[in-house]
Amino acid sequence: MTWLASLGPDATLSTVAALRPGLQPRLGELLTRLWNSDAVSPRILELCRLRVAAILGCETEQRSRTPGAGVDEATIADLPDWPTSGRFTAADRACIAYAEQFAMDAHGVEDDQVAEVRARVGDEGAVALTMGLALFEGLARVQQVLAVEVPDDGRLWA
Amino acid sequence: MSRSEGGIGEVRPRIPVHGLGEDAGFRGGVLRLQPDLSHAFLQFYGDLWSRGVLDHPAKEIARIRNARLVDCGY
Repeated sequence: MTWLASLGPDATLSTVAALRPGLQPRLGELLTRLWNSDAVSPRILELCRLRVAAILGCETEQRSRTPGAGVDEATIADLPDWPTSGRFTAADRACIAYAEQFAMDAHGVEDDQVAEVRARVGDEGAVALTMGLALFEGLARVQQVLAVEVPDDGRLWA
Repeated sequence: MSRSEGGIGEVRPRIPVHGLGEDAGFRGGVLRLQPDLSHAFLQFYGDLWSRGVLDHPAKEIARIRNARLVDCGY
């Protein structure tokens, strides 16, 4: 249950953001641009979002799903085993590794790791992915500290 | 940017932007590679800073404290 008692027990990220009416649509637009970016696939974004959520221990983000991302539940179940599971491509692995390091210790990201991401998704994709990781981490922490719930439809941003 | 060579004054961009110097910075540098996304980000960031019940000094203190905690020299 969220700390924001005025919102009731079922507050979601969207309803919390609505407490700042001007900011909510800006955040929604930012998320829309990210997920519709041509530079990096929704699949990679979704895998990285879920991996960051697992590292941060954000259950809300882990339970939510992004419609149309193209990631099935079997793949999500294998995500902890991404280095060896056959469900993940080389591009998936490069980006998930980058996401893990980003979430655990951004200073530990190495030149070679960035180069590998650039080789797989291009410079534009690397920028989009990095901005996505920043959003995923930040929003996961918002949900953690405010104890936000997942909407019934599983969509984080309604 | 790379921090592999030490202090903040020695960092270099890890994603080069053609036609820009290495000190182009965040907004003028890599964000140019994602103009739609960066526009949306700056709209969001601008609203965050310019509106709301928290005053500017409180936001700046929080920003600087966060930057120190994550050891970001910027």
